[in-house]
Amino acid sequence: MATQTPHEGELDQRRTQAVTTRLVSLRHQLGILGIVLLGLVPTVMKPSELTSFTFVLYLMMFAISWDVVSGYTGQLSFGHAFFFALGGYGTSIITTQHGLPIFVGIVGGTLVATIGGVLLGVPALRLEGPYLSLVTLIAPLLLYQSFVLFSDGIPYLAPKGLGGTSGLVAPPPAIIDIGSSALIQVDQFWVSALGKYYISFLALLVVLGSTYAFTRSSAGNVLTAIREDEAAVRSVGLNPAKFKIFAFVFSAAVGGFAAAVWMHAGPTAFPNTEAVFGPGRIDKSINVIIIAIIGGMGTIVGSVVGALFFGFADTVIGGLDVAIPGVELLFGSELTIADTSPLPTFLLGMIVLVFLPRGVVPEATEFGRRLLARRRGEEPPPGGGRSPVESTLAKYRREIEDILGRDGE
Amino acid sequence: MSVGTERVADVETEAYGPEDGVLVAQDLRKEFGGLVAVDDLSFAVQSQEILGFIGPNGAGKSTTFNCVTGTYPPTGGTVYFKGEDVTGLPAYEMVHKGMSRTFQEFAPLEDRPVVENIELALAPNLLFTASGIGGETERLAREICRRVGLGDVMDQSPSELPHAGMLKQELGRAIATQPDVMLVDEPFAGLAGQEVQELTDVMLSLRDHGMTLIVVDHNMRGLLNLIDRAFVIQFGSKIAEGTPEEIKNDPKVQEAYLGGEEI
Repeated sequence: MATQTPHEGELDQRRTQAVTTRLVSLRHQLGILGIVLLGLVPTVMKPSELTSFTFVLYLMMFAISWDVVSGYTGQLSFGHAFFFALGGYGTSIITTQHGLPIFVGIVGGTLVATIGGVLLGVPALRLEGPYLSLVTLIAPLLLYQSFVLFSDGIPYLAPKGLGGTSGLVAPPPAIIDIGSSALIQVDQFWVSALGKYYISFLALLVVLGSTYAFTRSSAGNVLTAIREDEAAVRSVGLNPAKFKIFAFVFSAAVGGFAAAVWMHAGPTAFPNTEAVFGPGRIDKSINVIIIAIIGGMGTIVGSVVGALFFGFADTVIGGLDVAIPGVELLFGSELTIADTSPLPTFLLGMIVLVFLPRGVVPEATEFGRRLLARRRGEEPPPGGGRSPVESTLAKYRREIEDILGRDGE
Repeated sequence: MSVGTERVADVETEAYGPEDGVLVAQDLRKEFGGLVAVDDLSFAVQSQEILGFIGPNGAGKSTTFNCVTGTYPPTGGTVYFKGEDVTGLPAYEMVHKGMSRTFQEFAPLEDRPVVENIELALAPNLLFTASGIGGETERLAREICRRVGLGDVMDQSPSELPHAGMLKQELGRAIATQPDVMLVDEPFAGLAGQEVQELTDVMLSLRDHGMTLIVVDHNMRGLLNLIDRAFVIQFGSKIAEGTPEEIKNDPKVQEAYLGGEEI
């Protein structure tokens, strides 16, 4: 297929022009404003608040890494914490057990996660069907067990061991901190909090920039088409396996990178199983899915907004130590709203799914577009068909029916 | 009757080489378990012709083309495309070689408007690309929409299209891959007279621009104004080949269609 585009000569010029017009569109101006505001957050927060807010930036990156593969291709990963664990443990072991510099650790951690992505993705994604979901369900649990199994050490790779469930003994060195082990030593808490925030912010910009560029190229369209119908993608000369595998490996690298930076610049990062997998081994994997769906699956930007919602809800709910009336009478002990966490946050996710099925960002964009059209006195633009969540669910239903040998309606 | 038997003998000894046509199948065979869906079928398609590929329901038409276009590999036999052995290549590679097809069951991407459905077919099979940034693929996709008669509805969701519109979108999607040979599966199923004429015009103009078309249908009625030559199969084997006039009067073909009913 030799795609010949008309007027080849002036193509570069037109591309530059198209990018410029797109960047000055209202939507992107708002996006840039949002990023600037995010960069200005430290001016309005106390250092202690800033420290907890810094973690939200990592939630954003984790959710983005999930969105690149699952939000776009509809191949749901239920165990993205696998990559966070590989990245986080990778850099920690490289820096503390091999004594290499932080920079090498971050690159190495990213690489370890990428290799993990290749190992899971290549076999699972060459098949058409829900196999990736099955594999990603098991992978983090296996990794968890291997942390216990190799708690005393793996020759050459991790001579001092993986530390079991309580984590690695030696904390990874911070890029900036008060203590003497840090790369940049400061003597005031607020300077260290500020430094950590901006290092994390920089990592977010890297993640956001690379994933945004990838998904806005025509490759992004191919990914969403895979979510809708793989046969249609094949029939126009595109190899779905190649795109799916790349998206998955890229996603693994992004997740690993975020976790690696988190170990050295994060506020509460410590390489133990609870930090990387969540207290119940799967919580973190599920949380990133909820964040991406709240914000808008398959949008990248949605994950940023979703993480803000999620972080906000978590903080507000965590602060509600009001007893739920009636519970004490029934069960004999008091139960506060904060104790029910993470139920309220999951509830928030459900509410968004029902009332804003595309997620906050796409619904807001469409609302804005209609509003603008009405103000200009134009016909409101037509709504854009099926939502990503619906497509993904429909695809899974079809595939599972295929496996069970049942014909769809 | 004796003429008929002679003819069948003829057919069976026919052998094609790679250079006998733009698309050549030699002894193509497909078995599903014990069932033989395509039984050592051989045919050659000449450049820039419109071939009607005809047979009653279940004759093996779709299976034949699934084997040719790489949806699944044949059990035996060889497929030559432009003189090259392409047997068993995956579907997306066949598209790169210049063979495209439309589907009987449409698979529109329901999350995006018609024009973006067509635009997907213009996307390169590359992970890193600047294609599409300058809006040139969108312009091309819009042009294709207008050519196939979707100019007024290209910004709608494909689920809002009428049946004929879906067919046109399928056609547009196949055209967008810039094929040399296009396989059109049952284009006239469920269409009214006016719509049949519109689609016929589109396909004739494609041929005039150098494309080779293979049109699959279970009967020939709608195809008479379109095809140059017909190829009739039953139970996975060829029973007749010739101009539409010849085929209509062929006793074997008449028999295949409900024991002598006219087709």
